[in-house]
Amino acid sequence: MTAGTGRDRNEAMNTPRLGHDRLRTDLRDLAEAYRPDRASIATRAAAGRAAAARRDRMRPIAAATAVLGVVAAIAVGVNAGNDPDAPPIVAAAPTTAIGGPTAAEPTAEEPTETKPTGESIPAKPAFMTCKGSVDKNSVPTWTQDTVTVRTSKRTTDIAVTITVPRTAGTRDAGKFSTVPNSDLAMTVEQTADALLYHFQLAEGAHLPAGEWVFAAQFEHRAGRDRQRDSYVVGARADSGAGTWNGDFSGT
Amino acid sequence: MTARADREIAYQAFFEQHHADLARLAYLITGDASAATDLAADALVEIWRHWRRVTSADNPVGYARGVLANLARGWLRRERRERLGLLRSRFRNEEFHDPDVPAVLDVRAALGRLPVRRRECVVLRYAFDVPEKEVAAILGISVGAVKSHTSRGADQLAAMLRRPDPVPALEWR
Repeated sequence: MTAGTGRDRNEAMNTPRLGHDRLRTDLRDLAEAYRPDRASIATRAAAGRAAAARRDRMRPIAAATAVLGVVAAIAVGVNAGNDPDAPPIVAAAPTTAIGGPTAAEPTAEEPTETKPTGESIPAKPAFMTCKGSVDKNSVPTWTQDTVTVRTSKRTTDIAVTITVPRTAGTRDAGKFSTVPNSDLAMTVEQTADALLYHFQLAEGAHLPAGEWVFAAQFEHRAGRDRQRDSYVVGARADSGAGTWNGDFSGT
Repeated sequence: MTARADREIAYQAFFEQHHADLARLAYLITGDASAATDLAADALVEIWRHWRRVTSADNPVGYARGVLANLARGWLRRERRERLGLLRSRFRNEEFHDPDVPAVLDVRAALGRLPVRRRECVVLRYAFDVPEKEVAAILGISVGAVKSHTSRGADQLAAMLRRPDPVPALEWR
């Protein structure tokens, strides 16, 4: 190993300065020592694909109301500002699911689905009403957007997305639901333009008729305009499917 | 029909080529062998879902790594939350497969103590040789931030391992 002499490094401000050759060796050894378990990865990936295919059936719903023109170009780095230590958690490029397989895509996106994914799903079905509200514990620099879903029938699928457009200092600060954790996948997707809080009922789970809460919490600079925050709920009951969308402007 | 088959074949090839690399990246970022398996799989699901975007990206591998880094960060956040008040080290020895290298264990433990951003940068730069610009794109931060996190992270890691750079001084002993 060649010792990158510390003095030489300073010459080239634009080229990578990597000293610590020993470190490089150590980290590679560590990576090599780990033996990825191909079979487990393949099994889980296959299960995930099946679940995703099922979920993407709901996706036209979300895509229809998405406020986002999300661009995913890995080549375009996101400038995080001048303070290198500020840790903006902005993985803009990779995670833009909402712009993903949508109604516009052919059914190749959905191997198990024979219907076109553009299946028309009625808005505001009879079995569901939804309401968006801002939690009363919100403060000028912290907000909880709450979606309350009331169902009069057992639902076999439910997907909620709360879209929080980025404004100054927007940062995910948590999420929760009254749906049991074991039955719900909750993820926060960070795009260049927004935080997307996704709640998805697990495969095979169902919810009895009742009231269910889905909440997105985030920090932000004071004086934030919440008019563009929005949500969309897609749900399926035995009697059919439907979507509901709205905002958090209150009743 | 053929388009679907083609896509499947291309995806499978991608899977074979990159699953190990993604799992290793996840392992270095999380320090957890089983989480690494899950995260690699989950990243590959996302990649499958957005296959067009992956293939049209300038750098499909970078795209994949970005997806993975993002998922890993989410995992770490959940872990941290769960661990509060439960002082349990994420970097547990029993998960480690290779028995003969205690030095490596030290590296893993030290790595786990780096702030996440620094860890990501150090791992991508040092273990995977990813150029700064690409690291910036993968993590969604500026090149300046990558430089800074990498250099601070590497210094911090070296200090924790109490091992100076190999220097001529060794020859004096």
